[in-house]
Amino acid sequence: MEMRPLAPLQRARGEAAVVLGAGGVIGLRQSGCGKAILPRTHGAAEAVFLNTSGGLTSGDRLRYALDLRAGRAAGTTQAAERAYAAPHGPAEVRVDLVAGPGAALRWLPQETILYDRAALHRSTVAELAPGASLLLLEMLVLGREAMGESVRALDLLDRREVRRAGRPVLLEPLRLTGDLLDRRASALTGGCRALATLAFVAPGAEDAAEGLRAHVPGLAVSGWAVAGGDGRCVARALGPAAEVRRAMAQAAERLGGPLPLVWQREAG
Amino acid sequence: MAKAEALLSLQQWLSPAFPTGAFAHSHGLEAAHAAGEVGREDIGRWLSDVIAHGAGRQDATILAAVLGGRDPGEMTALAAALAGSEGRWRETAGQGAAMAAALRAAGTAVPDGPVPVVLGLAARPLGLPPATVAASQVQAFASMVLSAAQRLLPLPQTEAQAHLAALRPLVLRTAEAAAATPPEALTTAAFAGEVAAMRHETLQPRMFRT
Repeated sequence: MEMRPLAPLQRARGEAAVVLGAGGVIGLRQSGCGKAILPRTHGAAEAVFLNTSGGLTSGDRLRYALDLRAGRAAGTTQAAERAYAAPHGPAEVRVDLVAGPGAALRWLPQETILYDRAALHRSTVAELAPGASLLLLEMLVLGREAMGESVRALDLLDRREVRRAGRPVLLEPLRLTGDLLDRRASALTGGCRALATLAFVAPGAEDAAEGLRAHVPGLAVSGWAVAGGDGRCVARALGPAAEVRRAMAQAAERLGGPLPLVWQREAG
Repeated sequence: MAKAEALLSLQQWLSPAFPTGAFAHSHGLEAAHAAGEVGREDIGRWLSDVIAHGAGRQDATILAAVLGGRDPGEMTALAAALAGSEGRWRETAGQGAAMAAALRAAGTAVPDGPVPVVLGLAARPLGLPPATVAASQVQAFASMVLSAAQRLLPLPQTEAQAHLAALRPLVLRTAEAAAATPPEALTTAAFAGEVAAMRHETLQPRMFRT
């Protein structure tokens, strides 16, 4: 007897959109499993996004939006995002960031943990007005280190794009599938568990590269690099999850000031 | 243009003798090798992955797009945004400018730009299928990396040629896929390769420009 595929389970939908200005919150919209918390801060404003459905799987649709009209602000996530096994197609996530003229925006989400058989298609797009600056972090963890998990099957598309004046200035369209995660694929991930990119886009950002490069945090030589030029300073890390997270936290703090409070928990 | 003449143009432009300065570039291989990530026994795999999942496929996609009529200015901005570091950009823009200068001297008027844009523009009158032109360029790229490998690993000349011949099916598949992919759908998986290229910028001592 042929088994019919089960109907797809109830999909999670969520959206959280925050608009901030120099004086504070201008707008906040939440729907479904998308939430945004705006804690009181002494320094730069913060928006903490979370997905109350507890993770991502097939058919989920999630959107976070942060629009900073003026001033300084940081967006982050309440916890690591977890992309679970997704046998019926990818979860889709959109992150839309906007920084107004002269605004200084940081998007520092916590890591995304990909479980075996995860399928996640995420697009992060930042639009920068003249004089705006952006610090953008994305960190991926392939399986939970503490559980000794390996990812064998994976459908990940994680596209990060920064635009200014209608043109792309930074584009990293990462695509990882299970077959590419082999330890021997030394041009790809070399079997490393975590990979992260921190991009600082601002007039003069390239000046930060030398200082950042000099502070190599406990990663193998082959697992850390900083490059800068023409309004960009990019750091990449590749290695064990805790070390990558620590390296990126230190680098983000060096480039953009104190991290959002949710970052100050024990490294997981 | 008659096919035989078109192929002669392609052969001239992608010859190692065409003055693009390719000889000075290792595509980050020098840094990867210095860190112990790649050696004579796995250069084939490293290069295959860079072709299939990194710059090989990226350049082929942009080349095919320009050849197919996409605006060169837009494709140049895309190539610059994709270049993960200044070294990566210098590798394609520097060689592209040298290629454009040599093309102009040889009677083909094209402006400076990154290699896939310059070549895409130059090849428009050839009337060859985009996958054919892209395959030739990907092979030329592989040849450049193998030339660097000969000096770095070191890799014997005949072994390098054996690698190049063995890469042919992948080169063709990569070019076919690139010709069928809009540049907006371009993706990359060569993360460690990017890290190596970034580290190369400050590698001391170093033999290659990138």
